[in-house]
Amino acid sequence: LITRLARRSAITCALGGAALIAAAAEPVRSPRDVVRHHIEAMLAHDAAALVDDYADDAVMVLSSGVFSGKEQIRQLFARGATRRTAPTDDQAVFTITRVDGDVVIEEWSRRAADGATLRGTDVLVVHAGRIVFHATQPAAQVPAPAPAQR
Amino acid sequence: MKQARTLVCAAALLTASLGGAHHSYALFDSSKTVTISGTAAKFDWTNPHLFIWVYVPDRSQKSGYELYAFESGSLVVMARDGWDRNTIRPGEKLTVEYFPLKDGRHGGSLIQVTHSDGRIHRGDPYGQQVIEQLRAKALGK
Repeated sequence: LITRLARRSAITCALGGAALIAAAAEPVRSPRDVVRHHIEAMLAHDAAALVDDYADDAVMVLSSGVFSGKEQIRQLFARGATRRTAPTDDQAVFTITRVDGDVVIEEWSRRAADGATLRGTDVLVVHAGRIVFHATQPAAQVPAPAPAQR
Repeated sequence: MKQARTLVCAAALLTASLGGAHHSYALFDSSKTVTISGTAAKFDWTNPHLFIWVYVPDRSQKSGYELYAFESGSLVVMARDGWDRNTIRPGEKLTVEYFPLKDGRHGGSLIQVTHSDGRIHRGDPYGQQVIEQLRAKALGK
């Protein structure tokens, strides 16, 4: 019996250790890494990866409204929030300009199909490797240059 | 986070309810003021009222932050007081004094916002009148 108990303890310890090692192998992503991944997903038009970056109870504040929870955010992306990086948008630029603890500020610009340049700033809060708050602030639109200037 | 969700719904309702009316203060407790500091998340330079969204550190929250929403006057009124669409920069540190929402949700009617460089932008004139009355009362005038 003692041998059996000892063997079971050894197995339990081994399994526990393996779980710990697995956990250690996947460290929580830093706020900068999360936003960097988010930008990559945006550029890759990967809606699933975009949604996966959010916490289950994340809140997203856009000019079009406030979206609460991963499911609403998923629907938002499904409805075309990724149009920011639509195929015509070959000059999209996303830049992480500042990281202040859990708060990440990201500036972006894109060229719309009509040639106008859109710019904006996103402010995100990242906790435990997931985006918990995400607000988007579009800046004024720069119209497309006149045909003679192109 | 749950409170944030409630707040954002409240903010949406607030905006909708005030859409066709003049600024109503019925939702706010103008007998007291609250001051918070945080990071500007978004600035809605829109009619009928401008809105400022602020991430405020809050250790009681799982995420460590709470989302606050503040409203003030119409663009015409605020522009007269020196505001424009660039007055609040997303990501900047702010200190906000406001009349809180009566129901305890996070946010309220803006009295003034102080930028990290010390500049101050005041909320709409009605709020300034109320705050003057409160100060006079406190001084026993």
